[in-house]
Amino acid sequence: MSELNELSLVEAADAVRAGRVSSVELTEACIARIEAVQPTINAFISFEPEAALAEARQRDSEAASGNYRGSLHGVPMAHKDLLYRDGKVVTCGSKVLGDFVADTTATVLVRLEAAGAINLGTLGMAELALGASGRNEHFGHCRNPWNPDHITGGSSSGSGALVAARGAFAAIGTDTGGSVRLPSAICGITGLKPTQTRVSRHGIMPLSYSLDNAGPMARTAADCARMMDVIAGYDDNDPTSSTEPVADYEYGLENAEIKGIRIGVPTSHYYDHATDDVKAALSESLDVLKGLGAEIIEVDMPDHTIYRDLLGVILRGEAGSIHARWFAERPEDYSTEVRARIEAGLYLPAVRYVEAQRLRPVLLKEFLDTVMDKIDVLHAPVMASAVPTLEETDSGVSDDALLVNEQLAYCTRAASFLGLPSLSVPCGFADRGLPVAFQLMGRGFQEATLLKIGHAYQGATDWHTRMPAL
Amino acid sequence: MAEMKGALTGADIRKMATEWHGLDLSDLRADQIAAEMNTFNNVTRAAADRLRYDDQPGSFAGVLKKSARSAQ
Repeated sequence: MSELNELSLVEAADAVRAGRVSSVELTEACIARIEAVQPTINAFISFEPEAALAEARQRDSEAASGNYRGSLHGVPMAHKDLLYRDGKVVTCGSKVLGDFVADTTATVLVRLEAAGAINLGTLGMAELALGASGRNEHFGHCRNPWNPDHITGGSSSGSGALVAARGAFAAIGTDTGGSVRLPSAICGITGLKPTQTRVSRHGIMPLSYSLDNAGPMARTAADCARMMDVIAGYDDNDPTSSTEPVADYEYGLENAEIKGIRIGVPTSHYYDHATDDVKAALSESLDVLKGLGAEIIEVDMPDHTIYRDLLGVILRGEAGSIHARWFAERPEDYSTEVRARIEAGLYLPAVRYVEAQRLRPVLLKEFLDTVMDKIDVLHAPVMASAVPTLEETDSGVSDDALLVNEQLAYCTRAASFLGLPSLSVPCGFADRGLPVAFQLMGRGFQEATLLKIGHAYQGATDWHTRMPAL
Repeated sequence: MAEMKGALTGADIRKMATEWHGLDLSDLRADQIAAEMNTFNNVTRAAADRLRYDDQPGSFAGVLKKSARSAQ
Protein backbone atom coordinates (compact mmCIF):
# COMPACT_ATOMS: atom_id res chain seq x y z
CA MET A 1 0.00 0.00 0.00
CA SER A 2 1.25 3.45 -0.91
CA GLU A 3 1.81 6.10 1.73
CA LEU A 4 -0.73 8.14 -0.21
CA ASN A 5 -3.47 5.72 0.87
CA GLU A 6 -2.70 6.53 4.48
CA LEU A 7 -3.58 10.21 4.09
CA SER A 8 -6.86 11.50 5.41
CA LEU A 9 -9.23 13.20 2.97
CA VAL A 10 -8.20 16.64 4.23
CA GLU A 11 -4.51 15.77 3.93
CA ALA A 12 -4.97 14.38 0.43
CA ALA A 13 -7.01 17.36 -0.79
CA ASP A 14 -4.57 19.84 0.73
CA ALA A 15 -1.63 17.99 -0.87
CA VAL A 16 -3.26 18.31 -4.29
CA ARG A 17 -3.99 21.99 -3.68
CA ALA A 18 -0.37 22.61 -2.67
CA GLY A 19 0.94 20.73 -5.71
CA ARG A 20 2.68 18.10 -3.58
CA VAL A 21 0.78 15.28 -5.23
CA SER A 22 -1.30 14.94 -8.37
CA SER A 23 -4.84 13.70 -8.61
CA VAL A 24 -3.62 10.94 -10.94
CA GLU A 25 -1.17 9.77 -8.27
CA LEU A 26 -3.91 9.67 -5.63
CA THR A 27 -6.27 7.87 -7.98
CA GLU A 28 -3.64 5.32 -9.04
CA ALA A 29 -2.88 4.64 -5.38
CA CYS A 30 -6.59 4.02 -4.69
CA ILE A 31 -6.98 1.80 -7.76
CA ALA A 32 -3.98 -0.31 -6.76
CA ARG A 33 -5.31 -0.62 -3.23
CA ILE A 34 -8.80 -1.55 -4.46
CA GLU A 35 -7.40 -4.23 -6.76
CA ALA A 36 -5.56 -5.67 -3.76
CA VAL A 37 -8.46 -5.64 -1.27
CA GLN A 38 -11.61 -6.07 -3.37
CA PRO A 39 -11.31 -9.88 -3.55
CA THR A 40 -11.37 -9.94 0.25
CA ILE A 41 -13.84 -7.22 1.20
CA ASN A 42 -16.15 -7.17 -1.88
CA ALA A 43 -16.82 -3.45 -1.43
CA PHE A 44 -17.70 -2.56 -5.03
CA ILE A 45 -20.73 -3.21 -7.16
CA SER A 46 -19.25 -1.29 -10.08
CA PHE A 47 -15.56 -0.36 -10.12
CA GLU A 48 -14.63 2.15 -12.85
CA PRO A 49 -10.87 2.73 -12.77
CA GLU A 50 -10.52 4.06 -16.33
CA ALA A 51 -13.26 6.65 -15.85
CA ALA A 52 -11.71 7.68 -12.55
CA LEU A 53 -8.29 8.11 -14.12
CA ALA A 54 -9.80 10.20 -16.93
CA GLU A 55 -11.41 12.45 -14.31
CA ALA A 56 -8.11 12.65 -12.43
CA ARG A 57 -6.23 13.70 -15.56
CA GLN A 58 -8.87 16.38 -16.11
CA ARG A 59 -8.45 17.64 -12.53
CA ASP A 60 -4.68 17.78 -12.94
CA SER A 61 -5.06 19.68 -16.18
CA GLU A 62 -7.36 22.15 -14.44
CA ALA A 63 -4.91 22.48 -11.56
CA ALA A 64 -2.05 23.16 -13.96
CA SER A 65 -4.06 26.17 -15.15
CA GLY A 66 -4.62 27.29 -11.58
CA ASN A 67 -8.24 26.24 -11.74
CA TYR A 68 -9.19 24.37 -8.59
CA ARG A 69 -12.84 23.40 -8.43
CA GLY A 70 -13.10 23.41 -4.66
CA SER A 71 -12.03 21.87 -1.38
CA LEU A 72 -12.15 18.28 -2.70
CA HIS A 73 -10.25 18.90 -5.92
CA GLY A 74 -8.70 15.68 -7.20
CA VAL A 75 -9.73 13.41 -4.31
CA PRO A 76 -11.02 9.92 -5.23
CA MET A 77 -14.18 8.68 -3.55
CA ALA A 78 -16.84 6.05 -4.17
CA HIS A 79 -20.42 6.00 -3.00
CA LYS A 80 -23.25 3.70 -2.00
CA ASP A 81 -25.06 2.35 -5.04
CA LEU A 82 -28.31 4.14 -4.39
CA LEU A 83 -27.19 7.61 -5.48
CA TYR A 84 -28.47 8.32 -8.95
CA ARG A 85 -26.09 9.26 -11.75
CA ASP A 86 -27.78 10.31 -14.99
CA GLY A 87 -27.67 7.48 -17.53
CA LYS A 88 -26.15 4.93 -15.15
CA VAL A 89 -27.64 1.80 -13.60
CA VAL A 90 -28.34 2.20 -9.88
CA THR A 91 -29.02 -1.17 -8.28
CA CYS A 92 -29.72 -0.16 -4.69
CA GLY A 93 -28.09 -3.49 -3.91
CA SER A 94 -31.16 -5.24 -5.26
CA LYS A 95 -32.31 -7.51 -8.01
CA VAL A 96 -35.60 -5.69 -8.37
CA LEU A 97 -33.78 -2.48 -9.38
CA GLY A 98 -30.97 -4.30 -11.13
CA ASP A 99 -31.72 -2.66 -14.49
CA PHE A 100 -32.89 0.73 -13.24
CA VAL A 101 -31.21 3.56 -15.15
CA ALA A 102 -31.27 6.97 -13.45
CA ASP A 103 -32.41 10.02 -15.39
CA THR A 104 -30.98 12.54 -12.95
CA THR A 105 -27.91 12.89 -10.74
CA ALA A 106 -28.12 13.07 -6.95
CA THR A 107 -27.54 16.57 -5.63
CA VAL A 108 -24.97 15.16 -3.21
CA LEU A 109 -22.93 13.83 -6.15
CA VAL A 110 -23.34 17.05 -8.11
CA ARG A 111 -22.03 19.04 -5.16
CA LEU A 112 -19.10 16.71 -4.44
CA GLU A 113 -18.00 16.76 -8.05
CA ALA A 114 -18.44 20.53 -8.30
CA ALA A 115 -15.97 20.66 -5.40
CA GLY A 116 -13.56 18.49 -7.41
CA ALA A 117 -14.12 14.97 -6.09
CA ILE A 118 -13.43 11.98 -8.35
CA ASN A 119 -15.69 8.95 -8.61
CA LEU A 120 -14.19 5.45 -8.44
CA GLY A 121 -17.50 3.60 -8.81
CA THR A 122 -20.47 2.38 -6.84
CA LEU A 123 -20.37 0.50 -3.57
CA GLY A 124 -22.10 -2.50 -2.13
CA MET A 125 -24.89 -2.17 0.37
CA ALA A 126 -27.64 -4.10 2.06
CA GLU A 127 -30.46 -4.87 -0.36
CA LEU A 128 -32.62 -1.73 -0.72
CA ALA A 129 -30.73 -0.14 2.20
CA LEU A 130 -32.59 -2.41 4.57
CA GLY A 131 -30.41 -4.37 6.93
CA ALA A 132 -28.11 -3.41 9.78
CA SER A 133 -25.76 -6.32 9.14
CA GLY A 134 -25.03 -5.23 5.57
CA ARG A 135 -25.67 -8.72 4.19
CA ASN A 136 -26.53 -8.95 0.51
CA GLU A 137 -27.69 -12.17 -1.11
CA HIS A 138 -27.66 -10.71 -4.65
CA PHE A 139 -24.18 -9.18 -4.90
CA GLY A 140 -22.42 -11.12 -2.15
CA HIS A 141 -21.76 -9.79 1.32
CA CYS A 142 -19.23 -7.04 1.89
CA ARG A 143 -16.67 -8.25 4.41
CA ASN A 144 -15.08 -6.49 7.32
CA PRO A 145 -11.49 -5.44 6.50
CA TRP A 146 -10.46 -6.09 10.11
CA ASN A 147 -11.70 -9.68 9.92
CA PRO A 148 -13.48 -10.88 6.77
CA ASP A 149 -15.48 -13.48 8.69
CA HIS A 150 -17.40 -10.63 10.30
CA ILE A 151 -20.08 -8.26 9.08
CA THR A 152 -19.28 -4.71 8.05
CA GLY A 153 -22.53 -3.39 9.44
CA GLY A 154 -25.05 -1.85 7.11
CA SER A 155 -26.70 -0.79 5.19
CA SER A 156 -23.77 1.30 3.81
CA SER A 157 -21.54 -1.75 3.98
CA GLY A 158 -19.27 -1.11 0.98
CA SER A 159 -18.75 2.49 2.08
CA GLY A 160 -17.54 1.37 5.50
CA ALA A 161 -15.35 -1.44 4.20
CA LEU A 162 -13.67 0.54 1.41
CA VAL A 163 -12.82 3.64 3.44
CA ALA A 164 -11.50 1.52 6.29
CA ALA A 165 -9.37 -0.50 3.85
CA ARG A 166 -7.91 2.76 2.49
CA GLY A 167 -9.32 2.21 -1.01
CA ALA A 168 -10.94 5.67 -1.09
CA PHE A 169 -10.67 8.81 0.99
CA ALA A 170 -14.38 9.04 1.72
CA ALA A 171 -17.78 7.74 0.75
CA ILE A 172 -21.37 8.81 1.02
CA GLY A 173 -23.65 6.50 2.94
CA THR A 174 -27.31 6.78 3.84
CA ASP A 175 -28.86 6.29 7.25
CA THR A 176 -32.49 5.44 8.00
CA GLY A 177 -32.02 3.59 11.28
CA GLY A 178 -28.24 3.51 11.68
CA SER A 179 -26.86 2.77 8.22
CA VAL A 180 -24.07 5.35 8.24
CA ARG A 181 -23.14 4.97 11.90
CA LEU A 182 -23.11 1.15 12.12
CA PRO A 183 -20.69 0.44 9.24
CA SER A 184 -18.58 3.41 10.30
CA ALA A 185 -18.35 2.03 13.83
CA ILE A 186 -17.87 -1.60 12.89
CA CYS A 187 -15.23 -0.82 10.25
CA GLY A 188 -13.39 1.75 12.41
CA ILE A 189 -14.01 4.99 10.52
CA THR A 190 -15.85 8.22 11.29
CA GLY A 191 -19.38 8.78 10.01
CA LEU A 192 -22.07 11.40 10.42
CA LYS A 193 -25.82 11.03 10.21
CA PRO A 194 -26.92 14.63 9.81
CA THR A 195 -30.09 16.19 11.16
CA GLN A 196 -33.17 15.14 9.19
CA THR A 197 -33.41 17.44 6.12
CA ARG A 198 -29.90 18.91 6.54
CA VAL A 199 -28.61 17.20 3.38
CA SER A 200 -30.56 16.97 0.12
CA ARG A 201 -32.02 13.59 -0.78
CA HIS A 202 -32.72 14.46 -4.40
CA GLY A 203 -31.61 11.57 -6.57
CA ILE A 204 -31.28 9.05 -3.76
CA MET A 205 -33.35 5.88 -3.92
CA PRO A 206 -35.76 6.18 -0.98
CA LEU A 207 -36.37 3.61 1.70
CA SER A 208 -38.38 5.89 4.00
CA TYR A 209 -39.14 9.48 2.99
CA SER A 210 -39.37 10.60 6.61
CA LEU A 211 -36.27 8.87 7.95
CA ASP A 212 -33.65 8.74 5.18
CA ASN A 213 -30.48 10.83 5.43
CA ALA A 214 -27.28 10.98 3.41
CA GLY A 215 -24.05 11.52 5.30
CA PRO A 216 -20.26 11.40 5.01
CA MET A 217 -18.14 8.40 5.95
CA ALA A 218 -14.42 9.12 6.15
CA ARG A 219 -11.40 8.63 8.35
CA THR A 220 -11.70 11.66 10.61
CA ALA A 221 -14.18 14.17 11.96
CA ALA A 222 -12.28 16.85 10.02
CA ASP A 223 -12.86 14.86 6.81
CA CYS A 224 -16.57 14.68 7.58
CA ALA A 225 -16.60 18.43 8.29
CA ARG A 226 -15.09 19.17 4.89
CA MET A 227 -17.63 16.89 3.21
CA MET A 228 -20.49 18.54 5.08
CA ASP A 229 -19.29 21.98 3.98
CA VAL A 230 -19.88 20.75 0.44
CA ILE A 231 -23.09 18.70 0.69
CA ALA A 232 -25.18 20.39 3.41
CA GLY A 233 -27.82 23.01 2.75
CA TYR A 234 -31.07 23.68 0.97
CA ASP A 235 -31.60 22.22 -2.48
CA ASP A 236 -34.29 23.41 -4.90
CA ASN A 237 -34.57 19.85 -6.16
CA ASP A 238 -35.48 18.60 -2.67
CA PRO A 239 -38.17 20.86 -1.22
CA THR A 240 -37.99 18.88 2.04
CA SER A 241 -34.39 20.02 2.59
CA SER A 242 -34.01 22.58 5.34
CA THR A 243 -33.40 26.29 4.85
CA GLU A 244 -31.78 26.44 8.28
CA PRO A 245 -28.43 28.28 8.03
CA VAL A 246 -25.45 26.00 7.38
CA ALA A 247 -22.46 26.25 9.70
CA ASP A 248 -18.89 26.49 8.42
CA TYR A 249 -18.07 23.04 9.75
CA GLU A 250 -14.36 22.86 8.99
CA TYR A 251 -13.68 26.39 10.17
CA GLY A 252 -15.43 25.45 13.40
CA LEU A 253 -12.72 22.89 14.10
CA GLU A 254 -9.89 25.41 14.27
CA ASN A 255 -8.67 25.71 17.83
CA ALA A 256 -11.47 23.34 18.80
CA GLU A 257 -12.09 23.99 22.48
CA ILE A 258 -14.44 21.66 24.30
CA LYS A 259 -13.79 22.96 27.81
CA GLY A 260 -17.10 23.19 29.63
CA ILE A 261 -19.05 21.21 27.07
CA ARG A 262 -21.63 19.07 28.84
CA ILE A 263 -21.49 15.44 27.72
CA GLY A 264 -24.35 13.25 28.82
CA VAL A 265 -23.94 9.57 29.67
CA PRO A 266 -27.17 7.55 29.55
CA THR A 267 -28.17 5.65 32.68
CA SER A 268 -30.35 3.20 30.75
CA HIS A 269 -30.97 1.55 27.37
CA TYR A 270 -27.66 2.09 25.55
CA TYR A 271 -25.58 -0.29 27.68
CA ASP A 272 -28.26 -3.02 27.98
CA HIS A 273 -26.32 -5.46 25.78
CA ALA A 274 -22.84 -4.00 26.23
CA THR A 275 -19.83 -6.27 26.40
CA ASP A 276 -17.07 -5.52 28.90
CA ASP A 277 -14.82 -4.45 26.00
CA VAL A 278 -17.33 -1.91 24.79
CA LYS A 279 -17.93 -0.58 28.29
CA ALA A 280 -14.18 -0.20 28.83
CA ALA A 281 -13.57 1.54 25.50
CA LEU A 282 -16.47 3.93 26.02
CA SER A 283 -15.36 4.67 29.57
CA GLU A 284 -11.83 5.42 28.40
CA SER A 285 -13.18 7.74 25.73
CA LEU A 286 -15.08 9.64 28.39
CA ASP A 287 -11.87 9.97 30.40
CA VAL A 288 -10.19 11.50 27.35
CA LEU A 289 -13.04 13.93 26.81
CA LYS A 290 -13.03 14.83 30.50
CA GLY A 291 -9.30 15.43 30.25
CA LEU A 292 -9.99 17.85 27.43
CA GLY A 293 -12.24 19.85 29.72
CA ALA A 294 -15.68 18.38 29.07
CA GLU A 295 -18.10 17.97 31.92
CA ILE A 296 -19.55 14.46 32.17
CA ILE A 297 -23.15 14.25 33.40
CA GLU A 298 -25.29 11.15 33.90
CA VAL A 299 -28.75 11.52 32.37
CA ASP A 300 -31.85 9.36 32.64
CA MET A 301 -33.36 8.21 29.37
CA PRO A 302 -37.02 8.14 28.41
CA ASP A 303 -38.45 4.85 27.11
CA HIS A 304 -36.63 4.02 23.87
CA THR A 305 -38.77 1.04 22.83
CA ILE A 306 -41.42 3.46 21.60
CA TYR A 307 -38.87 5.02 19.21
CA ARG A 308 -38.10 1.58 17.78
CA ASP A 309 -41.76 0.68 17.37
CA LEU A 310 -42.87 3.96 15.83
CA LEU A 311 -39.84 4.02 13.54
CA GLY A 312 -40.97 0.56 12.47
CA VAL A 313 -44.46 1.84 11.69
CA ILE A 314 -43.21 4.79 9.63
CA LEU A 315 -40.53 2.81 7.81
CA ARG A 316 -42.83 -0.08 6.92
CA GLY A 317 -45.64 2.21 5.79
CA GLU A 318 -43.37 4.22 3.51
CA ALA A 319 -41.25 1.32 2.24
CA GLY A 320 -44.41 -0.74 1.72
CA SER A 321 -45.83 2.01 -0.46
CA ILE A 322 -42.63 2.20 -2.52
CA HIS A 323 -42.43 -1.54 -3.08
CA ALA A 324 -46.10 -2.62 -3.22
CA ARG A 325 -46.25 -2.82 -7.00
CA TRP A 326 -43.00 -4.76 -7.32
CA PHE A 327 -44.06 -7.16 -4.55
CA ALA A 328 -47.02 -8.10 -6.72
CA GLU A 329 -45.18 -8.18 -10.03
CA ARG A 330 -41.73 -9.51 -9.10
CA PRO A 331 -41.88 -11.07 -5.63
CA GLU A 332 -39.07 -13.49 -6.49
CA ASP A 333 -36.68 -10.56 -6.97
CA TYR A 334 -36.64 -9.80 -3.23
CA SER A 335 -34.69 -11.79 -0.68
CA THR A 336 -36.97 -13.45 1.85
CA GLU A 337 -35.56 -11.39 4.71
CA VAL A 338 -35.95 -8.01 3.03
CA ARG A 339 -39.44 -8.76 1.84
CA ALA A 340 -40.41 -9.89 5.32
CA ARG A 341 -39.17 -6.64 6.81
CA ILE A 342 -41.16 -4.42 4.47
CA GLU A 343 -44.25 -6.51 3.82
CA ALA A 344 -46.25 -5.62 6.93
CA GLY A 345 -46.43 -2.05 5.65
CA LEU A 346 -48.94 -3.19 3.06
CA TYR A 347 -51.51 -3.85 5.78
CA LEU A 348 -50.84 -0.89 8.06
CA PRO A 349 -53.91 1.28 8.76
CA ALA A 350 -53.41 4.86 7.58
CA VAL A 351 -54.50 6.12 11.00
CA ARG A 352 -51.64 4.28 12.72
CA TYR A 353 -49.09 5.63 10.25
CA VAL A 354 -50.33 9.19 10.77
CA GLU A 355 -50.38 8.73 14.54
CA ALA A 356 -46.75 7.61 14.42
CA GLN A 357 -45.88 10.70 12.42
CA ARG A 358 -47.80 12.97 14.80
CA LEU A 359 -46.06 11.39 17.78
CA ARG A 360 -42.63 12.19 16.37
CA PRO A 361 -42.56 15.88 17.38
CA VAL A 362 -44.21 15.08 20.72
CA LEU A 363 -41.51 12.54 21.59
CA LEU A 364 -38.75 14.73 20.17
CA LYS A 365 -39.83 17.61 22.38
CA GLU A 366 -39.96 15.29 25.38
CA PHE A 367 -36.42 14.06 24.61
CA LEU A 368 -35.13 17.60 24.19
CA ASP A 369 -36.79 18.76 27.42
CA THR A 370 -35.79 15.82 29.59
CA VAL A 371 -32.39 14.85 28.14
CA MET A 372 -30.85 17.51 25.94
CA ASP A 373 -31.85 20.37 28.23
CA LYS A 374 -29.22 19.21 30.72
CA ILE A 375 -26.41 18.52 28.24
CA ASP A 376 -24.89 19.60 24.93
CA VAL A 377 -24.40 16.11 23.50
CA LEU A 378 -25.23 12.54 24.44
CA HIS A 379 -22.36 10.03 24.41
CA ALA A 380 -23.28 6.37 23.90
CA PRO A 381 -22.15 3.22 22.09
CA VAL A 382 -23.02 2.89 18.41
CA MET A 383 -23.19 -0.85 18.91
CA ALA A 384 -22.86 -2.26 22.39
CA SER A 385 -22.82 -5.98 21.64
CA ALA A 386 -19.97 -7.88 20.01
CA VAL A 387 -19.67 -7.61 16.22
CA PRO A 388 -21.15 -10.85 14.87
CA THR A 389 -19.75 -13.02 12.12
CA LEU A 390 -21.61 -13.19 8.81
CA GLU A 391 -22.70 -16.69 9.79
CA GLU A 392 -24.17 -15.48 13.05
CA THR A 393 -26.43 -13.08 11.11
CA ASP A 394 -27.59 -15.74 8.63
CA SER A 395 -31.09 -16.88 9.57
CA GLY A 396 -30.57 -19.96 7.42
CA VAL A 397 -27.65 -21.05 9.60
CA SER A 398 -28.17 -19.58 13.05
CA ASP A 399 -31.35 -19.81 15.13
CA ASP A 400 -30.25 -16.65 16.94
CA ALA A 401 -29.80 -14.60 13.74
CA LEU A 402 -33.09 -12.75 14.11
CA LEU A 403 -32.19 -11.59 17.61
CA VAL A 404 -28.60 -10.74 16.62
CA ASN A 405 -29.79 -8.66 13.66
CA GLU A 406 -32.43 -6.94 15.77
CA GLN A 407 -29.82 -5.90 18.35
CA LEU A 408 -27.45 -4.36 15.81
CA ALA A 409 -29.42 -1.12 15.58
CA TYR A 410 -30.45 -1.08 19.24
CA CYS A 411 -28.43 2.08 19.93
CA THR A 412 -28.90 3.91 16.62
CA ARG A 413 -32.66 4.04 16.10
CA ALA A 414 -33.35 6.83 18.60
CA ALA A 415 -31.43 9.49 16.66
CA SER A 416 -33.15 8.31 13.48
CA PHE A 417 -36.65 8.48 14.87
CA LEU A 418 -35.96 11.80 16.59
CA GLY A 419 -34.26 13.25 13.49
CA LEU A 420 -31.21 14.32 15.50
CA PRO A 421 -27.62 14.37 14.23
CA SER A 422 -25.24 11.68 15.40
CA LEU A 423 -21.51 11.25 14.82
CA SER A 424 -19.81 7.86 15.07
CA VAL A 425 -16.19 8.04 16.31
CA PRO A 426 -13.80 5.05 16.62
CA CYS A 427 -12.54 4.59 20.19
CA GLY A 428 -10.86 1.19 20.52
CA PHE A 429 -11.07 -2.50 19.74
CA ALA A 430 -12.94 -5.43 21.22
CA ASP A 431 -11.74 -8.96 21.81
CA ARG A 432 -12.54 -10.17 18.31
CA GLY A 433 -10.13 -7.52 17.02
CA LEU A 434 -12.98 -5.44 15.68
CA PRO A 435 -13.43 -1.71 16.21
CA VAL A 436 -15.57 -0.07 18.87
CA ALA A 437 -17.08 3.40 18.51
CA PHE A 438 -19.03 5.94 20.47
CA GLN A 439 -21.69 8.16 19.02
CA LEU A 440 -22.34 11.77 19.91
CA MET A 441 -25.95 12.79 19.51
CA GLY A 442 -26.83 16.49 19.48
CA ARG A 443 -29.73 18.88 19.11
CA GLY A 444 -31.14 19.59 15.68
CA PHE A 445 -28.67 21.17 13.23
CA GLN A 446 -25.82 21.00 15.76
CA GLU A 447 -23.51 18.93 13.55
CA ALA A 448 -20.76 21.51 14.11
CA THR A 449 -20.75 20.76 17.85
CA LEU A 450 -20.49 17.02 17.26
CA LEU A 451 -17.68 17.45 14.73
CA LYS A 452 -15.80 19.79 17.06
CA ILE A 453 -15.90 17.28 19.92
CA GLY A 454 -15.00 14.42 17.59
CA HIS A 455 -12.09 16.43 16.21
CA ALA A 456 -10.83 17.30 19.68
CA TYR A 457 -11.04 13.63 20.68
CA GLN A 458 -9.14 12.55 17.57
CA GLY A 459 -6.50 15.16 18.33
CA ALA A 460 -5.86 13.38 21.61
CA THR A 461 -6.12 9.75 20.42
CA ASP A 462 -5.00 7.67 17.45
CA TRP A 463 -7.81 5.10 17.01
CA HIS A 464 -8.86 6.77 13.75
CA THR A 465 -5.38 6.25 12.29
CA ARG A 466 -5.33 2.47 12.85
CA MET A 467 -5.48 0.44 9.65
CA PRO A 468 -6.57 -3.14 9.07
CA ALA A 469 -3.75 -5.52 8.10
CA LEU A 470 -5.10 -6.54 4.72
CA MET B 1 -50.94 -2.26 27.62
CA ALA B 2 -54.32 -3.85 26.91
CA GLU B 3 -54.60 -6.05 23.83
CA MET B 4 -56.87 -4.54 21.23
CA LYS B 5 -60.15 -6.40 20.80
CA GLY B 6 -60.71 -7.93 17.39
CA ALA B 7 -57.02 -8.36 16.64
CA LEU B 8 -56.11 -9.21 13.06
CA THR B 9 -55.70 -12.87 12.18
CA GLY B 10 -53.68 -14.55 9.49
CA ALA B 11 -56.89 -15.11 7.57
CA ASP B 12 -57.60 -11.36 7.64
CA ILE B 13 -54.13 -10.62 6.27
CA ARG B 14 -54.45 -13.24 3.54
CA LYS B 15 -57.76 -11.71 2.45
CA MET B 16 -56.26 -8.21 2.37
CA ALA B 17 -53.20 -9.48 0.50
CA THR B 18 -55.38 -10.90 -2.25
CA GLU B 19 -57.96 -8.14 -2.47
CA TRP B 20 -55.73 -5.10 -1.96
CA HIS B 21 -52.42 -6.10 -3.48
CA GLY B 22 -52.96 -9.21 -5.62
CA LEU B 23 -50.56 -11.19 -3.40
CA ASP B 24 -50.78 -14.82 -2.40
CA LEU B 25 -49.39 -15.33 1.12
CA SER B 26 -48.66 -18.61 2.86
CA ASP B 27 -50.55 -19.31 6.10
CA LEU B 28 -47.33 -19.02 8.09
CA ARG B 29 -46.36 -15.68 6.57
CA ALA B 30 -49.87 -14.30 7.00
CA ASP B 31 -49.85 -15.30 10.67
CA GLN B 32 -46.45 -13.60 11.15
CA ILE B 33 -47.66 -10.39 9.53
CA ALA B 34 -50.83 -10.44 11.61
CA ALA B 35 -48.76 -10.70 14.79
CA GLU B 36 -46.53 -7.83 13.65
CA MET B 37 -49.53 -5.69 12.71
CA ASN B 38 -51.22 -6.31 16.05
CA THR B 39 -48.07 -5.16 17.85
CA PHE B 40 -47.88 -2.00 15.76
CA ASN B 41 -51.57 -1.35 16.30
CA ASN B 42 -51.34 -1.76 20.05
CA VAL B 43 -48.16 0.25 20.52
CA THR B 44 -49.22 3.14 18.33
CA ARG B 45 -52.73 3.22 19.71
CA ALA B 46 -51.44 3.36 23.27
CA ALA B 47 -48.85 6.04 22.49
CA ALA B 48 -51.45 8.10 20.68
CA ASP B 49 -52.96 8.94 24.07
CA ARG B 50 -50.26 11.61 24.20
CA LEU B 51 -51.58 13.37 21.12
CA ARG B 52 -53.69 16.53 21.28
CA TYR B 53 -56.30 17.84 18.90
CA ASP B 54 -54.38 21.08 18.38
CA ASP B 55 -51.16 19.50 17.08
CA GLN B 56 -49.84 21.63 14.28
CA PRO B 57 -48.89 20.23 10.89
CA GLY B 58 -45.19 20.35 10.21
CA SER B 59 -44.38 20.60 13.89
CA PHE B 60 -41.58 18.02 13.70
CA ALA B 61 -39.47 20.35 11.56
CA GLY B 62 -40.41 23.19 13.91
CA VAL B 63 -39.24 21.34 17.01
CA LEU B 64 -35.95 20.45 15.29
CA LYS B 65 -35.36 24.10 14.38
CA LYS B 66 -36.25 25.30 17.86
CA SER B 67 -33.78 22.85 19.35
CA ALA B 68 -31.04 24.39 17.22
CA ARG B 69 -31.91 27.84 18.56
CA SER B 70 -31.82 26.63 22.16
CA ALA B 71 -28.21 25.52 21.68
CA GLN B 72 -27.05 28.98 20.67
